[in-house]
Amino acid sequence: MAEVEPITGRYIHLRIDNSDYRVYFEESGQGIPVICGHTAGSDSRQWRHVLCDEYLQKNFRLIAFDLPGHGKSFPKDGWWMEEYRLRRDFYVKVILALAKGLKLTRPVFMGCSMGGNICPHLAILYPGFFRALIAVEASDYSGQVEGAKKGEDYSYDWFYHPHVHGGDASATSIYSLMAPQSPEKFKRETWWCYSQSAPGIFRGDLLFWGEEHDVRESASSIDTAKTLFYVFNGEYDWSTPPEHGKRLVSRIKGAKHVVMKNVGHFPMSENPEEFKKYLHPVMDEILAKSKQ
Amino acid sequence: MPLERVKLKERYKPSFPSAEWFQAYGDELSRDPEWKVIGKFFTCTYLIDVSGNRFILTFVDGKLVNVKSNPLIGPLYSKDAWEFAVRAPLDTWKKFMQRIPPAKYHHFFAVTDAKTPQGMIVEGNMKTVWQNIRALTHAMEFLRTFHNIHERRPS
Repeated sequence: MAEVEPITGRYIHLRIDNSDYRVYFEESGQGIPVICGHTAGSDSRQWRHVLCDEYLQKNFRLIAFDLPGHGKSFPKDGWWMEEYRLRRDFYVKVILALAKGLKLTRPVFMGCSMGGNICPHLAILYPGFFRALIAVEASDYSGQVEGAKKGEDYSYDWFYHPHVHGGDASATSIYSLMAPQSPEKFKRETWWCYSQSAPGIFRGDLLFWGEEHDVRESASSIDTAKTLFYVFNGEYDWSTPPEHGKRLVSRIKGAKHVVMKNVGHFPMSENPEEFKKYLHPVMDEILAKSKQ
Repeated sequence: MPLERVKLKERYKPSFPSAEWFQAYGDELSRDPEWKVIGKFFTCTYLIDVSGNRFILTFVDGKLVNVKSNPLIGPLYSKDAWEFAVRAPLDTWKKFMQRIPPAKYHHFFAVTDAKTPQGMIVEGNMKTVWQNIRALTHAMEFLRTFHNIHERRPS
């Protein structure tokens, strides 16, 4: 008999900055809502193992969405007349609109990479809106901010160049961020999702991740009494190694740092069983604190 | 790729780095199932530098057709031109080729990142690098695959 997974996908229309966005999201489980944010240049498929986690489904409503221009969410009308660039403000608006559109009560937001980097911004701009933020593979800043100011020739343009295969380039580059111990099948699946990213999307997302994101001065204002804050980093993640996450944690009083052994930049998709070992205790803690 | 699927020649066991080692590596690469799919358009000449020991590898349509070691450099020797070079100390190459490499040395992109201590440096025509990124990366990763099967065999 054919197996059907417990994930259901739907579309919601969100009104942001005078434009209508048809946003795809999929979900499983019931209980405390958890919005899962994908990485730069990828989509909600990265969270499929988390959404199929029977342990989490018991107490959490797990929701993975596609940012406009990613996966099954189309970009806004007129996208072809603009160079795509993800801006912090827009990113925050999408997440808040989704949470409010689905009428979620004090959700958890768990994001990876750029999804992790948006977490401190969510806490700073909307203190207390989220009961917890789980910033996976996040840092306080990437370093490219200062490099760009110094005129260093660091460019993401090769990911969107007419003479270069963008899908191959994006996917091959991110494959390197995964640990040698992670199952080959799941690493290739992560590669596959990246290879399908639309032209210019990965580059545009990286402009937020690498250049705009910088909370060195503002992270200290985060009140973990209102919003629990966790930072996860995989040891094989060379773009956001544990020492970068530790910097972010050190700026937020009460934040907790989780360092994952034998895992890279995509723990939820490259090695779901290993990721669960670190995620479950944190989710248990969130659940316990929610009952207090 | 699964190590047990690669078969080696019995005749000799050249050491890394040497022209003979790279030639044996090229032979094995041509038998790799994934290379047969993604490497068939790889036509490129690049230089590998191991602590100053230089090897020019010439690929044509995915086949390593020539390996030249420590060629003379200069305008009069321009026949041995290459498009880009990958340079690193021997110790870095060894870490990179470990069966389970340490973090930051575990993949071509990781070890060539500016933050990696004593990392590999890629210099030259970056457009050629990016145009061939999937095949090139696989060829570099196969150095590890070949090294680990090769080193396990008795001399």
